[in-house]
Amino acid sequence: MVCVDDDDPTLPNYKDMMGEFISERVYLAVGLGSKTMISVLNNAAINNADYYDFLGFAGDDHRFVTDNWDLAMTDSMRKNNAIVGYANDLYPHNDLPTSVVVDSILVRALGFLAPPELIHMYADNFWLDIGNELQSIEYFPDVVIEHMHYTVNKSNRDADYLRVEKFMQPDSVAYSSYKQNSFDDDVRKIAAYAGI
Amino acid sequence: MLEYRVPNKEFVATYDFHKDRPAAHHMEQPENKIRLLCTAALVEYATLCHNVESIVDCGCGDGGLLQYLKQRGIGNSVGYDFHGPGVKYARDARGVSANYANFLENLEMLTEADLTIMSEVLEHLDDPHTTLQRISSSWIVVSSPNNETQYGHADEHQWVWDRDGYVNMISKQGWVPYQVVDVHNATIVLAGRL
Repeated sequence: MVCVDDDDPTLPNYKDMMGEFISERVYLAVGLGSKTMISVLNNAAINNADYYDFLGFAGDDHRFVTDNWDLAMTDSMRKNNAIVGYANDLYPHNDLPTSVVVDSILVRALGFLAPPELIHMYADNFWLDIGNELQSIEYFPDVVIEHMHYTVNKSNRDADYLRVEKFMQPDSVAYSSYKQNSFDDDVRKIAAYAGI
Repeated sequence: MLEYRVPNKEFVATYDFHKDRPAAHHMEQPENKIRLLCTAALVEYATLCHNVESIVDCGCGDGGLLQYLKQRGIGNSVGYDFHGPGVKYARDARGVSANYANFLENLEMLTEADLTIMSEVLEHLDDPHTTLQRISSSWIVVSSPNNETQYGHADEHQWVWDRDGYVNMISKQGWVPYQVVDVHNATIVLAGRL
């Protein structure tokens, strides 16, 4: 499943790549111009959580390096009953799930993949925090999904990076508010749903 | 693409219909809360990316969304509703600026803000099309149910749309949809003036 803005200049490439599965696997984020990414993520996750055991997220600045990364992660997460799983993104000193695989139970229990009050940032903090709080998180050091971020000179600081940086401060406030007001309830909801 | 006018429902968007109904606390209901927080995220996005400062929530109900916007410091917001118990709750319990008013009568004046919110409002109105045309703001965030049909809908709804029908209806009233979000049986649209 791939979510692409309908005005993304590389949309034809995605369609070619996804080939015959286009209608089932490529979701267009309808609208003009830039979007609130978390809304797009939740949009796709809510509509698919009942049809898939696992859902994931990776940005267009991630590269899947390890073959069969999906089976490596989901087989192990199934065996270990892990709700949250994340790969090695080769980002120095980073322990955040910048890309993630979650058991669909998370979406079914909460009704979202990431707190809906967020615009773009702090989803990775949420997945890490919820996994740790549930003691149901698995890190895969040997599975590499490389984060080609400009801060480690793996890409250019382009217009898209500049555009989303303005969301860091407001999303920081939004996530702090979420942690204070809703996080504990959400941990309980997932635990109850998953029988943890 | 569905747009359906429920027949013989002119009474449901009136003061008499709403005056004695209990206040609905959507922010305290799980799925409605997610919808409202998505709405808030689109509003905040508009403040960050489109220079929106003043916000009016037409059909603010019990003020749950206004309270969240106020707590987060997102824009300067005020609400209007013709549901008395909801407005009283918004003021007394949530401490937000909410006013008892038939906003449809003075819509052009009341929406002289940068952005107008109509969350779960348009489907209640006799004439949502003209209502959208009359809004003075440069931006709107509107939402309505997307899972109703001509055969199954809430009694108090006068119009039924699916996602495409809703977006098409908004577009035809002179608005450009910038983002469309489906969440828990509702479609939320951030749109700007053509």
